Amino acid sequence: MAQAVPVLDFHQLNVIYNEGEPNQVHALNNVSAKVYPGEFISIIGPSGCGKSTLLHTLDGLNRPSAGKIYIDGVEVNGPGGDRAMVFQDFALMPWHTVFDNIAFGLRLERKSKSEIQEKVMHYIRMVGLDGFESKYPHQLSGGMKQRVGIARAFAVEPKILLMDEPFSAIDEQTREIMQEEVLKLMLHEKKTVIFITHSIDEAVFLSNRIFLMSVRPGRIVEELTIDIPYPRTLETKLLPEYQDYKSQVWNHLKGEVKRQYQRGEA
Amino acid sequence: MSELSKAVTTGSTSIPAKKKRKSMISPAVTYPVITVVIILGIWEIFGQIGMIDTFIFNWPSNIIASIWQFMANGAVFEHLLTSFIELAIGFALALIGIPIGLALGYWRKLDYAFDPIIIALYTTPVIALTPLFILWFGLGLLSKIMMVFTMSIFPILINTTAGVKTTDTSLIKAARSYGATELQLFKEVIFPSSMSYIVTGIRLAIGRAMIAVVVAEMLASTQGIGYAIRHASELFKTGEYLGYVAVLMVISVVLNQLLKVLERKIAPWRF
Ligand SMILES: Nc1ncnc2c1ncn2[C@@H]1O[C@H](COP(=O)(O)OP(=O)(O)OP(=O)(O)O)[C@@H](O)[C@H]1O
Ligand SMILES: [Mg+2]
Repeated sequence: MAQAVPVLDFHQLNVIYNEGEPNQVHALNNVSAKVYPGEFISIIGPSGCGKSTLLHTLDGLNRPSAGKIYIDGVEVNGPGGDRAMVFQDFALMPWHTVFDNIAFGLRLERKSKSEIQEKVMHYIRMVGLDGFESKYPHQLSGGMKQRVGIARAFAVEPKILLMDEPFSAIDEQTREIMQEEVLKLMLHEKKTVIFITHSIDEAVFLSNRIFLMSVRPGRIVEELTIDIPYPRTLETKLLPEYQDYKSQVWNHLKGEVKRQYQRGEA
Repeated sequence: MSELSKAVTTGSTSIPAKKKRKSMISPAVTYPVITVVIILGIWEIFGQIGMIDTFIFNWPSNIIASIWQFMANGAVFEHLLTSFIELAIGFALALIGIPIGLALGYWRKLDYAFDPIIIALYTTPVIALTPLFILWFGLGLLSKIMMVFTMSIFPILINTTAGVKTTDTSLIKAARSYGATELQLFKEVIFPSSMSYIVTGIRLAIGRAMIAVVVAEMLASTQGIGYAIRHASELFKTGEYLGYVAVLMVISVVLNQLLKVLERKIAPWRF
């Protein structure tokens, strides 16, 4: 998998909230990693360890207190069309239809009407929402809302998809279906994905590498490569090595959660 | 899927439902109508049996007769036109409260700076300043326009500010993430998200604007609905007086309901 040029390279990232004030929080501590094109990376770690902070920083929503982010070798300092985010709470505009929500990024980029029409319809079909384009978010189920969120992200045709617990607000059955769909999409559209989850099963099923984070201040303490070839299906979950990987992740997490308890924070 | 199942259920029940609907209007309509009719009926009876002194009060049939009369000779429409012009101009000026409210909601320091003044002006009964406004701006339209402006700008401004402040931070994040500039953030997120608050502010402001117009016209004017009310009362024409009040009541109820419908149309997810 390791190719010469990483699509995303972040180096010694530090994020400190409310720096210099009494409520200062050191959220990220020297976080570095290289991510190669087409990789599916999951980030897993105890609650409050800085996973969302890391993702928001990579997206450009947070300014790191120190450290650098490179995309294809070029330093970036803010949001850009090369990255797109899928949010845990969907973050759809309630006053926009499904169509207009998916078109959101394209309209901000001032794309032409015909281009918007064509791309939005393409991605509506891709996430299986044909016929729903004039519905409003409050008329949709959680799973459908997140399909809109995913289509909105794909529509700007980013290199890197950043997903912050995208399925945590979705019921278990829909969630399994959507996991498979995201894998298919990612292989088909050749995206690089950074995916945050609390679910060990989800992380092992989707990823080719898992970054395990420590308690706050968050660091990447371990990288685990999941050597199961894609495409993966629900049958993959029956493989013995699948269970091995899961228990490896679980053992790590258990250690970190214990440390959090000992510090009296959980 | 859910579309389909909805179509099926409504389809299967539509025939009996229609049959029933012919004889039954919603109780949300019938009940208040019945209450009002009973009250009017008792009131009318009290009047007819001579329990009401027309020198100080009057009863429905006389009020309706007065309304009929001032509608037929067109007097009411001239007064309404004057009041409407004062209200419309004053109100249009008060809409400046929308951009000010957007700015106050967005820049917290600006809000800190002006919040005490705004709250003070909003909560003091500005209506007490009417005589002063008449001294400053004269007996004509201008003093009424200024009163309407002063009374209605604050609810608009305060609601707009609240709308901006309650904008979902995750929507703001999403917009920034997709590359929104500051201006696009306003246009694409903050303004639409505040829209239903702004309409609520406008609805509250209209009530206050009507009070402003009527009170100012009562104090010093020769036209307008407030003047008509005062004039009738001074002549002890209680039927006419209550007729004008009834007209005002109908107008404000209708406006209020229209704006409520608008609020719901603009932000169906809030209700
Ligand atoms: N805007 C902020 N201001 C101050 N502190 C913050 C802010 N955002 C996050 N934090 C703090 O930084 C730490 C990391 O938060 P973050 O949301 O990144 O954790 P997380 O790993 O995503 O947690 P979870 O698993 O619960 O989603 C937490 O202690 C949190 O309270
Ligand atoms: Mg988080």
